[in-house]
Amino acid sequence: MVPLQVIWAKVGAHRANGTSLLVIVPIALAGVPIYALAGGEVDFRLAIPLAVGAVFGAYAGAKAAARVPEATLRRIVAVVLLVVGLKQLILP
Amino acid sequence: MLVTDLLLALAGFLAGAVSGVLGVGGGLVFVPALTVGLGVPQTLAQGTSLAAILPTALVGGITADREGNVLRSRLVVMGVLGAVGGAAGAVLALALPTGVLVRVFGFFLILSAWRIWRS
Repeated sequence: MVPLQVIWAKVGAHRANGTSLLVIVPIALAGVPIYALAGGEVDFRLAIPLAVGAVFGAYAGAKAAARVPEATLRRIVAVVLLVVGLKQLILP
Repeated sequence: MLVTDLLLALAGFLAGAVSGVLGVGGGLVFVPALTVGLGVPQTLAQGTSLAAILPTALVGGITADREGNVLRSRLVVMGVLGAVGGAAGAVLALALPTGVLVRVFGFFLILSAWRIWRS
């Protein structure tokens, strides 16, 4: 969602990131029941401790991102996309 | 199991920080933490990760909005389309062998990385 917004909709990296975060909420809301009901593929015993740590991390991360200059944030996003993309191609 | 919980919370914190900075859900870190760290099967890891992403993205998104970094005018359209895509993606992920989909996605990410770096 971040690359689509930055490349095609010409949204700045900060707003693309923030908007993406909020749009992920309905995406996950739609996906979780399908994983849980159709496949029994959600382990809440594991998801809860992950989420407890993650909400603190997300708060800190979103605050930190707001202080990073636009060009730097774009490069960080580009490098992470490249690394994850290569990993997906080589070790799916 | 307390140690496992603490390690999961630590991995969660890392995932949350990555999520907040990059505007992604956190599955980048959640899924490998579950599969590589705990030996959870891939599909169960994806579903569990998606559940943990819910509060993570909500907190990160609200924080970003307070910093003025959310395009509110686009939220409804993107949210509705996102929910449809999220449901379709979950059905696909449960029905398909992962290999092909993951490689197509990888190619898309690399192409995007190049275009964002140059922009």
